Amino acid sequence: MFALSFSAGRSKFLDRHPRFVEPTAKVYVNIAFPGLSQDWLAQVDTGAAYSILEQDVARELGLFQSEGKFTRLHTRLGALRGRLIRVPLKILADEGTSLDFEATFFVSPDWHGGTFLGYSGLLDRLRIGLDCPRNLFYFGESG
Amino acid sequence: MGIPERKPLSVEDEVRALLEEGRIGEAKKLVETAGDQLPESLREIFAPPKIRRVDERGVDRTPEFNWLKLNGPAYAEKWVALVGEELVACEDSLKDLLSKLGQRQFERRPLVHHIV
Repeated sequence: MFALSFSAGRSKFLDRHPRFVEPTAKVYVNIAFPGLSQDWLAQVDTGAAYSILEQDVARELGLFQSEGKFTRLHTRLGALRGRLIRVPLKILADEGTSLDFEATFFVSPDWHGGTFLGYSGLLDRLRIGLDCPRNLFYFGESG
Repeated sequence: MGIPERKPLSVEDEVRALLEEGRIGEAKKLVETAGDQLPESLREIFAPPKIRRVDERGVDRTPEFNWLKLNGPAYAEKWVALVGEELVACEDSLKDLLSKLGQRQFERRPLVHHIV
């Protein structure tokens, strides 16, 4: 009952990197973008200051045609030039309700990593919780 | 000859400098206090995300996750599309993958992932 009031929905998460054997667990969750008829994986990363969109996905969404000033941000791959752009997306629930979002992402043609849901401006506005033994990701809007 | 006076940074430049240094919290505070001194485009970046509940449901992706755990390393650098434990498409580029997927129908939405 508590979990239901805490969150809007929940979904299974992938708990490890699909390619590399890494010493720490990961949390990959299902997301969707308006205009693309597939589901995608994004890594939840409370240690990331901001959210980053994988460059090929950004290209499919037409985000490299956006105007606006470039910003340089330090990423785990070094300092990259890109734009901060509001991107609509959904966090998909297997049970309960999904959340529709518009949040700021860093979009750079030089970013060769995946999509990250970072802390500032996205996770810091959500309630999130993990049921690790069952690989369940609970989420809901704050307040 | 005197030392040339350094032109003070505009609030916008200050915000961008803070962002570059990874001082997101400070940049956000500056944006909040600067208000109209900043262009709308920059204020929008720091605006809270718009969130609403939607009556749309995903599916339990455990079968796809099992596939990724088992086969992911063998598909390094590839874009893959999975429906359950079945690999329905695999390409070097997302563009090619989406083109292949567009020609087919599936019982549920494929899960697409780049194995990087």
